[in-house]
Amino acid sequence: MPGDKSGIDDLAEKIYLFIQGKCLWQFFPREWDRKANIEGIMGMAAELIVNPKLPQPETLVDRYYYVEAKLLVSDIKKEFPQVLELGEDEKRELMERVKQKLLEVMVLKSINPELRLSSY
Amino acid sequence: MPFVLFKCDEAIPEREKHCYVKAPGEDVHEYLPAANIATIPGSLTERGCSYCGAKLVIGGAIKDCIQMIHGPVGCAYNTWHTKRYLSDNDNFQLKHVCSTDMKEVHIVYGGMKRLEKAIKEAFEAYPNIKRMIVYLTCPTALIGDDIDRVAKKVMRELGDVDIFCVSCPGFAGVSQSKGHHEFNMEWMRGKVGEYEPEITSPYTVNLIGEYNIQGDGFVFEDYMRRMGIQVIGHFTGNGSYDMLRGMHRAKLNVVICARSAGYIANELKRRYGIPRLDIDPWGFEYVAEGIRKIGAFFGIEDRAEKLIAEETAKWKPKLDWYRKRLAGKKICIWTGGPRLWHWVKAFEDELGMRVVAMSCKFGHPDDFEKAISRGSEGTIYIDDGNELEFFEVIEMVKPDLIYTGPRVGDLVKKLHIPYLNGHGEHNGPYMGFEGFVNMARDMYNAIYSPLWELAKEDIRNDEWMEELEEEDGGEESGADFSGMESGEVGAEG
Amino acid sequence: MGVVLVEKPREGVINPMYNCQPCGAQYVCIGIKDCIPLVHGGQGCCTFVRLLFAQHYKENFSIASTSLHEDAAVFGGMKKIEEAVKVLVRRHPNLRVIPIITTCSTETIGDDVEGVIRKLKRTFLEKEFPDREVYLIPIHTPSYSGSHVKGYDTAMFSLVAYLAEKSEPNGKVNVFTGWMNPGDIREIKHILAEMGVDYILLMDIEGFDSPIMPDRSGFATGNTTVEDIRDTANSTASIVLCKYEGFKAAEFLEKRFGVPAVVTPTPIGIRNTDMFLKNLRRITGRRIPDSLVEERGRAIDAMVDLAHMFLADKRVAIYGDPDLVIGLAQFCVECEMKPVLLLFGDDASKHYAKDERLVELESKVEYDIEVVMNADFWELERRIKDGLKLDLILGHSKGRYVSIDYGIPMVRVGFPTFDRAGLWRYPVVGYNGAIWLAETIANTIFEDMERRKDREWILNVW
Ligand code: SF4
Ligand code: SF4
Repeated sequence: MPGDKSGIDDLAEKIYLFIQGKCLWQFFPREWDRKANIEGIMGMAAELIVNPKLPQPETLVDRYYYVEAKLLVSDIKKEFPQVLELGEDEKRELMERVKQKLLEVMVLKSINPELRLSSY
Repeated sequence: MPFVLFKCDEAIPEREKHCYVKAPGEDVHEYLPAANIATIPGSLTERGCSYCGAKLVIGGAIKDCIQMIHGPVGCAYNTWHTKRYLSDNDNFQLKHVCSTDMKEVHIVYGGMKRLEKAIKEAFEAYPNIKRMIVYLTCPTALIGDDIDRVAKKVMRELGDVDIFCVSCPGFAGVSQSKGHHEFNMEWMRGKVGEYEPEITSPYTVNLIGEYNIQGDGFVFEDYMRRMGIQVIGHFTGNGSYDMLRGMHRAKLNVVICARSAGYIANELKRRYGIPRLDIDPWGFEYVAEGIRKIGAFFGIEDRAEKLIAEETAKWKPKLDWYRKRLAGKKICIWTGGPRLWHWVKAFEDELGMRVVAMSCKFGHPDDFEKAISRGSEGTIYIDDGNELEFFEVIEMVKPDLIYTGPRVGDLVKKLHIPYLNGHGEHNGPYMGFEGFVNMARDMYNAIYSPLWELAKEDIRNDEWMEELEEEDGGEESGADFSGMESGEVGAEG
Repeated sequence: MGVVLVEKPREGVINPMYNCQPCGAQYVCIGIKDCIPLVHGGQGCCTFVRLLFAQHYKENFSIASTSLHEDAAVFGGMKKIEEAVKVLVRRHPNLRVIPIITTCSTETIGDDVEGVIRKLKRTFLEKEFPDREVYLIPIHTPSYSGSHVKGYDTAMFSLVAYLAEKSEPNGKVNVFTGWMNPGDIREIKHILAEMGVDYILLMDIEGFDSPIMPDRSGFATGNTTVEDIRDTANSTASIVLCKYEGFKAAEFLEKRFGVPAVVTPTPIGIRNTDMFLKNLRRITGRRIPDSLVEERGRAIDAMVDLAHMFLADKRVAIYGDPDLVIGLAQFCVECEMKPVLLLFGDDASKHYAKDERLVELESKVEYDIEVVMNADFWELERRIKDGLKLDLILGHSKGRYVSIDYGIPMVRVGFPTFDRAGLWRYPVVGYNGAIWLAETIANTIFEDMERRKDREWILNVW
C-alpha cells in the first residue's frame, strides 16, 4: 500500500532480490569498485526514477552509471508497477533502501574474503 | 542445508566448505563456498596451471604474434591443438607454437642464451610476424631466468619487433586463474598505451574477456559493426597485438568474461577513466540487454533496437521450437567459473530448464556470489569439483545433460548421460542470438539422441520375449516360437 | 645413395613433434589395473596430459596431481606427495598402485621421492592400512632430457624393477609392446593366441577401447595387474617390440633374473611380423600355425593389389615415435614406396638414426633417405616450402596443418590421432596391420586423386 512503511520495506526487498538475480554491476571484485558501482548506479537510479528526463552526464564513468540506472529503472517499473504510484519522496526512499540493502549484503556483511584485498 | 560433505569426501573433510546447497531464503553473505584456495593434492582436481591461464586461455588467442614458451618441450606441446579460437588471420594462432626446448645444461647454467636464439630463429621462420609473447614456465622460473632482459635485448637488436613477457609458472597461484591475472596486469603495465590505433568511429569499445571460441567473437564484432561501433581491443579473441596496445583509446570496456579479464577492465577504468560494462552474451534477453546498454551509452538507442528487432525476428521462432522440448530438463554446468552464472538464468528463464548442479575449476568467491544469487534453491554449487564428487552428484541429481569439458564428458557418457562441450562448444558459436539457438539445438540433439535409449537396454534381458508373447496372445502370428526355450535363442552350440 | 643424417639447425623448437617425459610415464601407468598415477609437479603437467589422452581416445583416465603451488616450489614439495598419497589411498579403496611421476619442476627442486615413500610406508600405510598393500613406485622423468619416448622407457623400467620378483617359472613370455594403440594390442593378442603362447602383456591396454554398458559399468582401464608385473621375473623370455620403449625393463629382467631379452623389429609390415613370429617360435618352441600363414598371404595379396599400380615410387615423409617411424619406413619399402624423409623429434635421435634397421634399409634402397634428428614440424614444413616433393605424410595429428596447408595427403598413425575417428581401434602391427596400412594409404591417395581430378578415372577399373 503506498505510503505505508512496511509496504516500502517489502518492495525494497523484492527489488533487491530482483537486482541480485540480474545485475552484474553489484559483484565487482573489490570493495572500492563494488561500493562505487552500487552507490553510483543506485544514486543515479534514484534521480532517474523521479526525473526520467535527467540529461546524460558528461564523464564516461557517470554516463555508465546513468546507462545502468536507466535500464534498471525501466525494469523496476515493468516488474513492480506499484512503484509508479509512490510519491517522489517515497520513490527516493525506496531506492535508498534498496541501495542500503545492497551495500549491506554485498559489501558490509560480505563474507567474500577477496573483497578487501588491496590488490587483485 | 548449507555446506555438504559428500560421502566420497569423508577422508578430506576440508572439501565441505567448497560444496554448498542453496536453501530457501539464504543469502550470499551467509554461505559462500571457499574458492580460489589451494587444491587438495591427490583429489583428482580438474584444475590446470597458471601457464595454461596465460597461454591457452588468453595469449594464445591473439592472432598475429608468435607464441614462445620458455621451458621444456611438454608445456608447449600440450597447449597446442587444444583450442577452438578462430581468427581472420588464417588461424595462425592455432597452427604454431614455439618452445625453447630446455635441456639439462640449460637448467644447470640458465636458459637465457637459448631463449635469445630461439626468439631470433622464430622471427626468422615467420618473416611477416613481428610480435611475440614469451611465457615463463615452472622450470625456467625456478632457475630464475630473466625473460624480460632477453626480450629487451632482442627488441633492441632487431628494431622492428615487439615482445611481451609474462611470468606464469604453473605453480604460481592455485589454478589457471593466476595466469589470467598475470597476463592482464602485465599487459596493462607493459603494453597498453604504447600504440595509437586509427580511430574510425566516434563510438569505440574494447571487447574484454571474449576469446572467439568457434567464432563467438565474430558474432559480437558483427553486432558492433552494425551499430557503427569500432572495436579497438578485442581481448583477446581474434585480437591483434597492436590494437590491444591501443586499448586506452576506447570509450567503453564491454566485459564478457569478468573472471579472466576483469582485471584489465578495472585497470583501464582506474588509469584511463574508461568505464567497465559487464554483460552476459548468452541468452536472448541478456544479449538484448547488453546491446541496449551499449547503445544507450553512446546515445544510439535506435540502432540498438533495430539490431535487436532484426535478430529476434530471425532467431526467436527457432528458439521457441527448442524451448518447448527443453523445458523441464535437468542440467549440470561444470566448467571453468563464469559460465555458471552467465548461463544459469538464461537456461532457466529462457528455456525453462533446471540447473541442478554447478561446479567450477577456477572460480573466485565473486563467481559464487553471482552463481548463487542467480541460481535456484536446492541447486548444488561446488568449487573445484573432482571425479568422485561428480559421480556422487550425478546420483543425487540425475541430470539429463551436462555442460563440461571433453574428458569429464567422456566419463559421463559411460553413465548414459550426454555431455556438451562447455569450453570449446559442440557446434558454436554459442554467443549472441544465433548462438543461443545453437546451444539449444545442441542440447536438444544431445538429450533426445536415440542412442541413450539403446545404451540403457540390456538385450540379455528376456522381457521383450514376454512382451512379444503377450502381443501375440490373441492373434494369429506368422511364426510360432512359443515352444522355444529362452535359453536356446543365441545359445552357443 | 643412402641414409643422410642431418640435425635440426636451430636451438629452439617450432611446432613440437614430441612430448615430454612425464607424458610417456603417464601413458605406461594408466595401463596398470587399479592404479592411479600421481604426477608430482604443477597441475598443468598432469591436466594437459589427461586432456591429450582424452583427445585421442575420447575416454577419461584418472591421473592425480600433487598440485604443487608456490610454497612447495620454494620449500620443496614432499609434503604434497604425502598429502596426495593419503588422499588417494583413503578415497579409493581398490587402489593398489600409485606410481609417483616427477616432472621438470620437482626434479629441479630436487625432492627426495624415495625418502617420502619410505616415510609414508612406515608412518601411514603400515599404521592406517595394515591389511592393504599399496605400492608407491618412484618414476623420475625430468623432461629436459629425452622425451615421452624416454619417459615411457623409464617408467616401464621403474615399474618392473620395483615389482618383479623371482618365484616359480611360469612358462610365459613377457611382451613389451611399447607405445601402441588398443587395436595393436588386440592384434598382438591374436597372434599370441594363434601361436598358443602364454604371455604377460606390458601393458595390456586393450581396455582403453571401452564400451558403454547397460549397467553403466564400462570404463576405460588398463588391465595389467601388479601380479603380472611381479611375475615378469619368472618368464621364459622377454620380447621387446619397440626397442626405445621397453628395452630398459627387459634388459633389467635379463641382468637381474636371467630372463633373456629378445628385441624384435617392431612388427609393422610382412617381414617384421615374420620376425616376430620366428622369434616367438624360437623362444617358445611353438610352431607357426597355418592360420597365420593364411593371414600373411591375405596381407601380401592386399599389398600386391595396390603396390605397383598405386603405391610404387610415392614419396613419403614419416614422423612420430622412433620405432614406429622405422617400422613404417620398412613397410613403405615393402610396398614399393619411397620413405624419403624421416623425422625424429628428440635429443636421443642420434641413436634412432643409427638403428640397425635403418642401416639395413639403406642397403636396400637406391635413393636418398634424409633423416632429421631432433626435428620439429618446422623441419618438415620448411622442406616442403623449399620445394621438397611429397606424395604422402605418415604421422600423428599434431602435424595436421602441414598436410592441410600444403595439400599433401596424410594418413594418421601413432599417437595422438585426435583429428580422425577411432583410429586407435585399428592395428598397424601384424599382418592385419599391414592390410590396414596398405589399404588406408591407398584409399587416402584415391580420395586425393578424386579431389584433384588427377587420373581419378583410373579407379573406374582396376
Ligand atoms: S614442465 Fe616438464 S613435465 Fe611439465 S609439462 Fe612442461 S615439459 Fe612436461
Ligand atoms: S611445468 Fe608448470 S607451466 Fe608447464 S605445464 Fe607443468 S605446471 Fe604448467
